[in-house]
Amino acid sequence: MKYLLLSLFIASSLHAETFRVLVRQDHSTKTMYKEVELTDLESSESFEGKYFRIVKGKDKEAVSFRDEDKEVILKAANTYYHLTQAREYWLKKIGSERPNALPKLTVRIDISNLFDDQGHYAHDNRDPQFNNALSIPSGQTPEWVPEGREDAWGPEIWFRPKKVIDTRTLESNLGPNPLTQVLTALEHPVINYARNQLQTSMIERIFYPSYSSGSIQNDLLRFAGTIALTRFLISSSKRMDPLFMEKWFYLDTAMVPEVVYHEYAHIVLADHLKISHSTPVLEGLADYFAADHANKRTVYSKVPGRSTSQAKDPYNKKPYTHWSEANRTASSDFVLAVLWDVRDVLGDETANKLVYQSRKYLSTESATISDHLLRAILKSCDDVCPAPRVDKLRLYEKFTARGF
Amino acid sequence: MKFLLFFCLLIFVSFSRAFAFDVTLLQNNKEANSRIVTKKDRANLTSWVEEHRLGDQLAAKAASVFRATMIAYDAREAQCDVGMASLLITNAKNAGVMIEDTELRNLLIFLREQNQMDDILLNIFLKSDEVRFDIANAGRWIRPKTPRNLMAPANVDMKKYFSYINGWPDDNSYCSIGRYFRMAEMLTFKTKTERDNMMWKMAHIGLRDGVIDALTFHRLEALRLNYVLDWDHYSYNYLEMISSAKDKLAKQREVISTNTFSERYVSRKEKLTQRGRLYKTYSPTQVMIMASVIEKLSKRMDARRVELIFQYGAEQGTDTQIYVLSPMEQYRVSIKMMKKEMAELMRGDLFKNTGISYEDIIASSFETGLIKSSELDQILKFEEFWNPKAPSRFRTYAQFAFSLAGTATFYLPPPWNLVGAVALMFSQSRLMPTTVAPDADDNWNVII
Repeated sequence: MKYLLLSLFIASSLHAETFRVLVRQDHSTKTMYKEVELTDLESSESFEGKYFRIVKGKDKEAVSFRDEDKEVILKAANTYYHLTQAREYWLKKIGSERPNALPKLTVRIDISNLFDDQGHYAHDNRDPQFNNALSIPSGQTPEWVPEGREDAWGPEIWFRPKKVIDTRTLESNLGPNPLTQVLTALEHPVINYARNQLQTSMIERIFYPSYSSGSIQNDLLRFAGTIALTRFLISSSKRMDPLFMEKWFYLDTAMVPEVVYHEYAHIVLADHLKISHSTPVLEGLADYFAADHANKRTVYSKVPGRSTSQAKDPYNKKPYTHWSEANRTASSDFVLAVLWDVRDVLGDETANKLVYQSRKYLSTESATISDHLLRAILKSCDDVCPAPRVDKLRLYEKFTARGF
Repeated sequence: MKFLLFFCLLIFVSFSRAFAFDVTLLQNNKEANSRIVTKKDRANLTSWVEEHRLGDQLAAKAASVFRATMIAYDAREAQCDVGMASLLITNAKNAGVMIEDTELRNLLIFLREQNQMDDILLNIFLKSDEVRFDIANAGRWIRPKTPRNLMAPANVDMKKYFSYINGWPDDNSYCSIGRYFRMAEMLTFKTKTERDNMMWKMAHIGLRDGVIDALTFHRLEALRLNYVLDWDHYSYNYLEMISSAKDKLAKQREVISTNTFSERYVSRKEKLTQRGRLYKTYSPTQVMIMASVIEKLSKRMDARRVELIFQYGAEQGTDTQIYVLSPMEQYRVSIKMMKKEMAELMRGDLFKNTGISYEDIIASSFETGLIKSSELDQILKFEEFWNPKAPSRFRTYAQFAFSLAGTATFYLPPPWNLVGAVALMFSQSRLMPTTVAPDADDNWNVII
């Protein structure tokens, strides 16, 4: 009876408030604003929930519903809503118990400080961060830190503020633009064609001189001209990157639903994959669950006024190269595509179980794609696949096609 | 005394049961469909079953008679194919499953449809019944005319040759087909036709010289005309394979096959299926050895760790470099090792003149229950790994047509030559998309 009363009291002490948030439309990646009810709020004044506390910057208190900055309220409501959705997704769709075991999660919006594992936040002046989001592990300041500056924190998610950057100042790692790609693909056949024309003309001159017309110089000039023109077009096209890029880059991570799902995935997966640094495998796993949750053709698609970031494509056919292992490719969609291959082979439900299970055979320190990730997937298949021997053969086949 | 007799009987029964043939192994769980049963057979069977006096009890009774027959047959001193059909007929008649001998085909088809037996045993039964019938009715035939100029081969001892059938075998303790084989072994021949002609001549000589009587002559002819020396399968070998290899490596025996691999024809002309070829060509020992190739492949692929060790020094453990293979390298090495093992088997004396194919290896693994029918298709794809399929006929013709058209564009006047070439390239890419395999040179992370 006591417990019943207590649970009734707890239930009655939770609030639900209606706020405007940004969501993707049902059958497209387009976004829209929508009034939604935020549930499990412990406070009727602020974003202090049963599972999440949304704070601004380095604040300790949750963002107030009556904050003067409407943009802050929008971001707080947005992150709260999508985190609640992500929690439901992990509990119900993936069947993970981890969300229930987590302490209340502090979520910081508009925080530009670097994370410092010794002191929680690096100094404000030290390399402020923008257009990004990260999950941080729990920790506390060492014993030698003077009283008053001591701090202890649980796992947190940090959403950086948006900053508009001229794309010309960014180091491009997007590869050649589409025009260059097309021209490069045509280079070989066009030059081959011109060479064959020249050869045919030469043969005619030798064996059927009466049929040939025009001079040899003319033919040679045409051949050389074709090569020169093709090369010139290709080199010129390389300077046309701005035509295919947004002029400005910005990413308001707190306002992109999949980024919220992605960061929450890191927190859930942290039972085996410590959140210490970013690797292609860790990011790929988080991307996988974000993509599965979002259930769209692409993930992290552009959001007008909020994000001009390049979307990730789970169906990317890019083959594996040794460069795929480089840490700087952690933001690429290669691992996501590999995990989507698993989904293609095993179906959504088994693949979700398998990818979730694979975290048990991985560690943050040793997580290469070709070795650790594939080994973890194959081992997990032994655990969760309905017909492990055949399913593993199908996976081997798929991985071979991917170039592993 | 009575007690002693009872005790002896008890020991005999328990002894025979200890070595009893597991008759449940005869149940068909390897062939999804029958290659022998025809539409006409099914139509006949339907009316036979509908009109059968046992009604609903037919299935249980027929299965019980069949199993009892096979146990009794296996327990015989000699497994004579001709006697197998006779035994089933007798047992079936006694149990009321059959009244006339002519019902045997319907009964056999019924048992096959109920998966009580597979196509191989059904075929043996059907052939066995034909020979049984011909031998039983041999006396009714007229005496043949003896051909002229019959000369007995000089190197054949006529007395010994016909001694094998002095007193026609009872097909219980002594087998007529077995004796016929022994007789054939005494002759020297190059081809099967030459052998059959020689045996025909020998029968005539025997009859002419009064070594054999007309009935024996006709019985020998019945054996020859039923090609008993060239059957793909005989009951003795079949039962040996069933009891020594079938499902011997299965963790759990499959109830029914869902894959048609077993019944695919290896030779359409000879009507020899994949499984039939396995039973025809290999012994149970060979089948078990071939299955072990796949077993080892599976173990290697699942190995927790595979290393390549470079030992630079003379002593072990000093100055070494260890490279751990990635899962995909492990996979490729495992397949390459399987190919190596197959090559070793082919070179060995045990598999001399058998010409092992990858399909045979798979068929053995399936027969021994190591792999299930649901796994067959995927495992068969391994062959494509080292033996890619030839392009389709359409693709070959299309490539030829595009090649001709490509050459023809050279002779078009400008600018149509360029336009034509580009249009051709475009249509080629649309009609014949190529799945380009990733270039191995791009992946420096693997060594195998």
